[in-house]
Amino acid sequence: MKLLQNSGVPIYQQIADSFKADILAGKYREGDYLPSIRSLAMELKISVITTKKAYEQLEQVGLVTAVQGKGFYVNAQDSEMLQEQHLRKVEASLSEAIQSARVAGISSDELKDMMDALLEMEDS
Amino acid sequence: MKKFRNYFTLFNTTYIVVANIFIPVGFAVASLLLSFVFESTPSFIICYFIYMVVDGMTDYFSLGNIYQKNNMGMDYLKTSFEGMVVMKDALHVDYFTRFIRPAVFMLLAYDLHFIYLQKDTILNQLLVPWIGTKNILLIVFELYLVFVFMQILLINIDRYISMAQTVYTLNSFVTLGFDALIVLLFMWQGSDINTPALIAVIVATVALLVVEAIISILHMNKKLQMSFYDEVEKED
Amino acid sequence: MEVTSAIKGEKIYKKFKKFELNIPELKIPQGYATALIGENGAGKTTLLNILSGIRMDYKGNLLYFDKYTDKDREFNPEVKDKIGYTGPGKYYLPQWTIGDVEQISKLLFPSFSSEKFNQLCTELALSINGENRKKKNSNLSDGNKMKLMLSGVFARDTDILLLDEPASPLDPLMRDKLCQMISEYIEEGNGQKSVFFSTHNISDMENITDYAIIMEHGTVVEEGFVEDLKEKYILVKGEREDADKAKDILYTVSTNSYGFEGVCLAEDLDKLAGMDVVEETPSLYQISVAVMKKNTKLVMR
Repeated sequence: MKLLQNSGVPIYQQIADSFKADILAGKYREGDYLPSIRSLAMELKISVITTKKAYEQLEQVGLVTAVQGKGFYVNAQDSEMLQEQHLRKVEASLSEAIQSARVAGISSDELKDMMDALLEMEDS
Repeated sequence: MKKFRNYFTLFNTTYIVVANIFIPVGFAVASLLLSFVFESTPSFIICYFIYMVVDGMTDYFSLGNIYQKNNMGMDYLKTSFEGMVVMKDALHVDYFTRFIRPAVFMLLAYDLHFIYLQKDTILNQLLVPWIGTKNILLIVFELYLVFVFMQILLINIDRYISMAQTVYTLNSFVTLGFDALIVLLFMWQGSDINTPALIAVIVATVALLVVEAIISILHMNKKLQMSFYDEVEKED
Repeated sequence: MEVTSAIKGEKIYKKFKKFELNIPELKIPQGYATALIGENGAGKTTLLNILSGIRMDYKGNLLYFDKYTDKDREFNPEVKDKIGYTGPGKYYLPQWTIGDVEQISKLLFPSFSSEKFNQLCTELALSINGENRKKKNSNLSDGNKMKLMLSGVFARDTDILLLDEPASPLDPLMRDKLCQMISEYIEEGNGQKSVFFSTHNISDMENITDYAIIMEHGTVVEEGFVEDLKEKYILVKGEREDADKAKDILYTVSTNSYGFEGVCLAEDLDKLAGMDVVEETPSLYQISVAVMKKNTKLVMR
């Protein structure tokens, strides 16, 4: 995990993102406990409250579940659901774009070209 | 026994050895050596004076101004449950040593001195009229009592004053001055002092000393208690 | 956030001739490191002395670990043994040697471990494998005195550490080590052990600070978990021409010929609309300085 002090992204966000990536990549399995907030804080040389906030972020998006007195464990089913949620979000955004295109009178082919152009821009 | 354990732990080992053994024995030996040179009793008196000053000064190296409020080290004792009891124990033993070590010095110095010295040298007869009289032991005992009395008075005063060795030295000399007066009084009166009068003086001194010791210990307990529980208002 | 308190205080009051300590409510969260920040003379040492039991002439109620009162602290040896304290400079008697400190601590504190003490002394390069043990406290440098105190307190089995200015006499490397020690202590306690320390070296201790209490003139002016404070206050920088307008909105502001820089309450951020400003998350140091600036009697330019 690489933490940047002055990147503009809060430390807790960086930690949360890093764990999110790890969980989605399958490095943590269902039911695995994340390192305890205090030991993680010690390892990363940051405050306990920062790691706690990072874990709470993960809990909010449904990746982990907190157990009183035991810590945070990874919720595998929830991560599949999360993938689905992402998919739905993309679909929703796309249909919104299509709606707007219809109003503006843009044809389907033009829309596809636009999409390709945008993708190219993103990738480059 | 617990009191002694606390004393030995709380007081610096070097201090305990030096103040209780090294200095009294050292001065007794010095008194003997001076006897070789001067062949007279004043060598014993001189050593007695110097020993008194040095003994007064050693208190600076023990706990210093421990009665002063917010004394250094007091914080440490206060953060522990046992702190005050340990401190009290140690100070009780400390008072006890104040009685013992002058006695060690007196007995050693006196014995060493008179074993070597011929009691009827001319110089002795001239300088110390009471030497060789039957009252000599009583006089030495009286000197011991005065010594202890002044020494306890001294620590009761100096332990309030901020750590400064000069203050300790100065006060040692003040008590020495008082003590010297008493010795001179004896020398002046010489062998004229009759035994009943001397015994009366000794009994009075013992009474005074007992009263002083009781007051000192009660006062010390009270002082520690006050310091420990912050019973006195103090400006920060 | 639901947190239990290691120490809870109510209506803590202490009056001196020219100074008054008055804290209606004090909560030190359990399982976290709490920093006590404030100007010189704000009452930090007095508060720590009251909490540790060094000063007992105060009014108010204290509750330790949710069940023990300050009476229990004085008359129940177990409670007192659970509270560790290190104070400024003159803590041990000057004539005590490192060896003496070990012996005396063993006498005074049931949970004191000589083994741990010697290990810490070696770790902090104070007395490597028992050398220097005859060295007197008065002959140690300020930094080494603090190291000795820290070794003494960390060698005990405590549930809360009250550290009065632990970082001040230490060098940067040792401060880093101190942070590590506090971090390990908190980790080892697994939510039971807490640390409460006062400091002027906020940036050095920021990495381990979970909760901050800022004091001014004998009372608490701001407190909260650091992450919450970082959301409450926002650092803004802007151009010179907006400075006057911003002055009324910002919590504290300092201007120069080129622009202004200040700390803004997050709730007031909307009022800055229309100005050309950049926002940044402030560090605890910046928040503390802003809060202290707001409450100080010092004349700041």
